[in-house]
Amino acid sequence: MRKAFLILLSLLILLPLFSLFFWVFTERWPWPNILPKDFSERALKSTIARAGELGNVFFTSILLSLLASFFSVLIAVLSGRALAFYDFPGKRLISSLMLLPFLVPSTVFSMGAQILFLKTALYSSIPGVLLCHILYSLPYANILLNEGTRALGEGLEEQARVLGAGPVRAFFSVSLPNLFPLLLSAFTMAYVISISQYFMTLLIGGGRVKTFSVVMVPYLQSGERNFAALYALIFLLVTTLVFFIFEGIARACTGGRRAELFSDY
Amino acid sequence: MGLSIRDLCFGFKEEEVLLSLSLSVESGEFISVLGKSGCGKSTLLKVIAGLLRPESGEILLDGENIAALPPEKRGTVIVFQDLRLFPNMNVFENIAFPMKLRKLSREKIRERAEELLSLVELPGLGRRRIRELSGGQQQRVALARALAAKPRLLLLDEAFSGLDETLRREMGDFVRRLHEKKRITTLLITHQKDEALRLSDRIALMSGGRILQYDTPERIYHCPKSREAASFLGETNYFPGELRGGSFFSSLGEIPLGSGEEERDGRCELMLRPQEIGIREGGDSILLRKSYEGESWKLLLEREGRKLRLSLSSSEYEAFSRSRGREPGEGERFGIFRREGSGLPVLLPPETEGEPGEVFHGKEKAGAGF
Repeated sequence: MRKAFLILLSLLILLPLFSLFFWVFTERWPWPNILPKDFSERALKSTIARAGELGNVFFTSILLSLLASFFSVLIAVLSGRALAFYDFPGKRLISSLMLLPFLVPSTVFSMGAQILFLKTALYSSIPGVLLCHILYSLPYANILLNEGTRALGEGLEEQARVLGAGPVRAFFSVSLPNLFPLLLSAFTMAYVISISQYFMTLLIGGGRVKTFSVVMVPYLQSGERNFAALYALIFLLVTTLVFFIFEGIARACTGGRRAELFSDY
Repeated sequence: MGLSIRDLCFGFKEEEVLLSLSLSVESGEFISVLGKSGCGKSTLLKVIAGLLRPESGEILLDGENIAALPPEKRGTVIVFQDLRLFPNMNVFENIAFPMKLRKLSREKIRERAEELLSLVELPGLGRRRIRELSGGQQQRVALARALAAKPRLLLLDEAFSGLDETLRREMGDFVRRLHEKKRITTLLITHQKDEALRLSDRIALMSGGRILQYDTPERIYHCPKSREAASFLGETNYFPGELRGGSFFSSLGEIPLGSGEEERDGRCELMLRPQEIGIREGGDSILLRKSYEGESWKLLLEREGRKLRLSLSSSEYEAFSRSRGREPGEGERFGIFRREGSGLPVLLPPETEGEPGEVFHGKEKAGAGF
């Protein structure tokens, strides 16, 4: 029963992917035909011809999203500690404000940011897009890390301190390794949020900052489904590859063991 | 040298937790700080270890004032109640952690970790994950890790509370044996009086952020300085009476106290523990309730409007029952008496009079009793 359920679940994921693969070589597929009417390699050939340009777009996309994720996680770790371990005036307000981008739709947020950035050098620049991506992915990282930091508590760090570790050493030796699974989740979440931003990147980047989403979406809108399908597959492949690299880094950092988060301490 | 705490004050928000607390511990001593939950004993430990900053006062360790030092520079290691073993490290790595901080060589760390694992009777378990250990084993690893830090002062914060009764006793004895071997100055925080009495060289009774009494287990138990101190270490019974001409007179009769007490004439109360009172046939005490507790029987009697608690060993209870042909029944009347050899009589001021903590211990003449 469990096996059958898993097979069904796999098919639900794999079938649309298979359909994407089919669409790459499909020029026309009019209704009510069961099979495509015209096959062509136009999308594939054109994309291979633009490989250099697309490589640059990918490089920009991945770098932008990695940076956005890194800064989101960094800010979330620090703010998580501040909110979990310190009392200061306005703590609850700050905690709520940090989740605000969650509540504001991406389009509204982007338009507001665009108006603000138009007055500065941030408009139509990579730093401007990066800043918006950080702000927009931060609440996701925050939610995961605030709760994780609170649940882990200060206990292990206190123990490390009395055993002779300074505050920085205590954090890096004890808290960070135990937060690692959450860090990785937060990083992955922020990465996915960032790399799939289309409207925000287009608006803030003014069309000059080209990410893969910015290049791919017009094909979808204009009905060039073979191009859109090919781009979607490449996007999927690259993202999967990036996640495998994350996983490898995680294994290297935890010495190949799973960290036992929240195990009574 | 050891530890010397002078006028230590600590407050949390608007609540004063430690009130001008002073305590002195000799080098190599095993001290228990005994108190109820919330009396400030764990706070005291954290202040000593530097995890909390005191408002005022001095903490001298081997003559050096460590009050301003960060926790890692104090040499005061805590074994917490929840042990706080690092889950991202195995047993060996946990024990090696403080040694790595001291920058010992790999070889030295391995050698010392193995020594410590043998000392805590866990040889060969270095590679185990923490979650693969039992509660008692985790406790031993936490101790080994604390010893690996070469503490000048070992602080045990309710370290055995998480264990079941048998294991708690075993671990307590184990720690005491370790202490005999290493002679590290040790402060045990506990709310278990039996643990404190059994393990300590001296006990500091703590209540409301203050030390009520600081003395050897025997003196704390038999000569409490106040009603509060007396009630910490077990149930008590009070007999009102009068101190007159070197003797105490109460409904139990006369207890001659010897010379030196004449000038303290006046009203006071005699404190007796449940096991210091005996029972006999016929009298003015009504048995209200009795309960069997394995090694002993607990009896609740009423006498002159006061409740009295007695504790008879099972053999005494059986002998008494045999002597009268039946077990003592609820509602029956009995006489009570102060047992022979109950030690020095403890006389305390009447409940409504005198300063808290004021006490005068009688100097009983040899053989005196009821």
